[in-house]
Parts: sequence; structure tokens; C-alpha cells
Amino acid sequence: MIPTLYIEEEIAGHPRVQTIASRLPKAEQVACGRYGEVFNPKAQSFRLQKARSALILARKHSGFVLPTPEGYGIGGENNYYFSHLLNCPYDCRYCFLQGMYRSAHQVLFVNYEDFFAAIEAILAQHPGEDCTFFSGYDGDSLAFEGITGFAAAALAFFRRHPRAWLELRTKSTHVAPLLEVEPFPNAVVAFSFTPEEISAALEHGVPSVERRLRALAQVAQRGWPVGLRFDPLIYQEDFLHQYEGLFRRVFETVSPEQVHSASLGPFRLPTGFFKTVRRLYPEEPLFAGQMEKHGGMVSYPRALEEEMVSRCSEALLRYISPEAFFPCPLPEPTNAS
Amino acid sequence: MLRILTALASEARPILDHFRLRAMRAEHPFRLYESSDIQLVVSGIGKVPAAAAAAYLQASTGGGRQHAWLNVGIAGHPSLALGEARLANKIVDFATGKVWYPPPSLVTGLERTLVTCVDRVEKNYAASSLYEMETAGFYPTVCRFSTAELVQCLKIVSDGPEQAPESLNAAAVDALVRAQLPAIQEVAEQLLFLSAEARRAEEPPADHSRLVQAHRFTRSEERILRLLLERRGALAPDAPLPAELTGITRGSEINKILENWLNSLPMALRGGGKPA
Repeated sequence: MIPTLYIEEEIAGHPRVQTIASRLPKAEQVACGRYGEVFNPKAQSFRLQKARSALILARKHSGFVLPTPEGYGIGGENNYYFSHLLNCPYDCRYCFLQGMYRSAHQVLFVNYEDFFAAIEAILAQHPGEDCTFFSGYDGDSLAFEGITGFAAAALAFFRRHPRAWLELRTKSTHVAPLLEVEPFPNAVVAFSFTPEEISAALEHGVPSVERRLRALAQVAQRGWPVGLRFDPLIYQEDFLHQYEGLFRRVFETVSPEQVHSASLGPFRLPTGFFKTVRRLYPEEPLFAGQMEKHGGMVSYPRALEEEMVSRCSEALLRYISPEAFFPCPLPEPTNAS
Repeated sequence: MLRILTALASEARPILDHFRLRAMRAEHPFRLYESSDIQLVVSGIGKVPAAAAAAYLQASTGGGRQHAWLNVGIAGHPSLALGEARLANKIVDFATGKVWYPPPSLVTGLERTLVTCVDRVEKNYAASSLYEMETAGFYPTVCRFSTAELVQCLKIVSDGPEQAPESLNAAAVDALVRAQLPAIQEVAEQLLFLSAEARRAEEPPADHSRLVQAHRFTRSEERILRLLLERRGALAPDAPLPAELTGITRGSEINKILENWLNSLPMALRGGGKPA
């Protein structure tokens, strides 16, 4: 439940704001200037705020579409991401957003059309080439769909632009907008999974793996290209057994031919984010095991990380072809500490 | 710990009675009261006295960012009934235009509303807002000491177009606040709960104080020790410290032994992760 809806005064009359507000009739409404007045103050506790986080409706003014970090992609040459949503209603303990933002509130930029115009401008910079646009970088692509209607608007846009590939990345089961429309090939619906044991321990408020699998099956049966994201890989002594079990369940649910792409990557956080998150949750075993720094990231010891990636990749490649597999690159090693 | 600030002695009196707060013994420039888990300061009217009193209470009693703060006071409103109570969801300093947003961290029966902090008594009640004189001093000052989720402002309607503020006297203010003691109690309980939550995350881990007092640690080594003992609390909270520590007195050596021991422990998640 969203207790409070902060609305930038500038967009109070925007029709999308009216629609969203009508979908949250019990939320108190508070007018604000720029969203940063609510989102950015120093004196905030992400942990305390997460229990009753609010939704901030705002207008984004610049920086609509940005290039992805090096190595981030699912086969395309030109990779970009956009963030119409900052933060996520879910509470995954490994998530970098906890370390990146002071606030646990969610910010929704309601000027979707400006994002779409920026995507058209990027396409114009790459005449005749495909470009991939990732939407679930700073928040779950579908978790708020029932409130925001963003995915429905994005699907209508991308349907008209076959050179523009869209990845919707989600742990949500809000797949209704995908089931209600005719599928098209350049939109990939990517579901993130960890094994059930790990999900139960770390993915708070997230639909169970089984519920996500049911949503995955519905989307695949409807004819959408689906993606599988096993990122981050979380270590347990019997990690291989857990991941093998997960892969088995996934491919009992969808056939390899329905899978557009699969990716995996080990758990890692930028060093500063890791320190922040560990301070927030000192009792969390995930942050208490042996970790090392690699290229500005904190992650498992190199040998363990390589073993996890290698063995899980091997297990996954029993089901899918190498052409559909995109492991996240490991950062170059630096001095361990 | 919950720290309450009121501007007037008549606002404080029902709270002192209800929570059985006693006057602090030493001489202070503000009237201070306390029990085992609540402190109260009477600031006087206005945002500068409110800021000063909050800062004085913090400086004289100390503590980390886990203390909760509550401003209780009377306010005017153009339409709300006298005696109604509200929490602030937005505070505007009328003089400077500065704005703050107390987070929706509590679940109470109280509605939340806009509060405008004025420098002189407001008689026009131009906007649909509570008008009062302390929050713009109290809130930003206290947010330097604590996290915003633990800072709230509760206002009780005392005046409006039909009831001029000049007609108020101490007995009337006392009665208004006394009638809202159940709401104040509810807010206080929730703030104390959140404060305890925040304290748990900040408390030094088990054995930290004992080791620091008994052995030689530099400041840096002490910080590392804390991180190592937090790791131990997460990975093996019931495990005794390694026997190799016996007879070791240098902080750096203690830390090295602890780190090696922790790195040898299996990494198992809690509450779902299969134990190794």
C-alpha cells in the first residue's frame, strides 16, 4: 500500500497524474516543488523508510536515455537504458538501489512521451541499425504497471519502431498488459530469478519463484520473446544444486525456443554502495561473508566468483544455445582487500 | 529515547502528567523534564527558541541518530474544528519559503496536513493550512541530529476564524492538549518503536566494548574490529570467539585472527538459505 503520493506542482494537471491518483484513492496527496525536495534530503534512513515508502510523481527534464555500462547487453551493438522509475517496491537485500539512493520512495516520471522522443532521437543517430533500450535498470519494469500504465504505453511505441528493441525486466507478475495485446518481436520480457531458498531469504515482498514462473509461462505462451536473468548469482555451499534445480524448473515452464536470451552475473556492488548497504543491514549474512574488491566493485573472492559463473553457465547451457547466452563480464582484478 | 518539544508550559503540562516526567535537577536555560525513555523541553514561542531548545537538549543529553523527536503544540486553522489534531506532512517557513516533508513513517488514526510556520500570530488563515510558530525551527534543526523518519510534528487546532488566538489562556491550552493525549500516546509509542529499530542497527556488536577496553586498539583498528564483530554477529552469532585470541593484546593481531576465522566460516543465508 502506498501511504502518500507526492506530486510536483508543475505536473498536477497532467492527465496521467490524475489517472494515477484515481488509482490510489486512499493515499494522501502532498504537493511538492521538485521531487528532489522529498527524495534527496540527507537525513533519511532507507531502512526505516522502506517500511512505508511513498510514490513521487515528477517530470524528468533531461538525460532521458543513457548508454549502458560496458558489457551490458543481450546481443545488440547499440545499448541504452532509460529510467522512468527510480527505486522499486520490492526489497531485495542484494539490490544496488539501497546503496545508491538515500530515499526508499519511488519516483515516477510521468512524461513518458519525452522518453519516447529521446529514443527516436537515438534511433536517428543509428540509421539502419538496431538499438536496444533497457527499462528495468533503476526499478522493476512491471511492478507498478497497475498504477502507472508505463509498459502499455511503451509497447505501443516500440511496436511502431521495429529497429528499437525494448527489454522489460521484472520480478513482478503484473503481465496483464502483455497478455492483452498482440506480441511483436522487438520487445523482450525478461524475468529475474534466484533459487527459491535464496529468494525466500533475500527477496522481500517479491512474488514467489513459482508465481513468477506462471507469469513467465503466460507471457511465453502469448508469443512474446522472453528473457531469463539469473543476476545476481548468490553463493551457498550447495549453490550449484540450487541453481540446477532452478534451471530445471524454468525449462519445465518454457521451452528453449521461446527464450530470446539468458544472462547471469555474480553478486557485486560498487564499493561505496556496499559500505552503505552493510551499514543499513549489519545483521545480514549476505554482506558478512568473505568479499573482495575488484575494479571498484565488492564481490565474492575471484576464484569463487569464477567457479560460480563457470558452473552455472555450464548448467544453463545444457538448455539454451550459446548464441542466446550473455554472461555479465567480470571486472578486471585489482588489489584484494 | 523520545524527545518532545513544546513551546508553552501549558502545552507541556498534560504530557508531563501523562508520561510522569520529572524536572531535570541541574540548572538549565530551558525547562527540561525526563523519564527513562522520554525527555521534554519547553522552548518558548517561535522558531528560533524552538531550534535553540532542541539543540540544547541534544547537546546536553547527547546520543546518536536513533533518537526520535516530536513537536507538540497548538495551531490555527481556517476550517478544522477546535481540538482536532494533525501530523505535519509538509512544513513551510512562511518567511523564507523553505519547505520540509516529514515522511509518512507512522500508522496512526491521525490525518496529516500542511503546516505553515509564521513569525507572528496568524489571524487571516489565508490557506488551508495549520498556522503555528515552531516547526520551521524545530524540524530542520532536529534533522541534523536524527533521521527524518523519527521526527514528527503534532499540532492541535486551537484557533480559527471563529475563535481568535487572543482568547486562549493556559487552562484552555492545557485542556486542548489533554484531550489529545491518546493520540500523543499513540504517536509516542510508534516513535519509540522506530527509535528502538534504528538503535539496533547502530549498537556496537557483542564483545566490542569488552575487547576495546581490555586491549590496545587505534581508532582505525577499533572501526575494523566493529565491522569484524558485526560480521560475526551475522554469520555465527552464537559462536564463541576463536581460542587463538587468548593472550593477544595488540588490536591489529586480534583483528587479523578474527578476519581469518570469519573468512573460514561457511556463508549461509538466514531464513530461507539452506544452512551449510
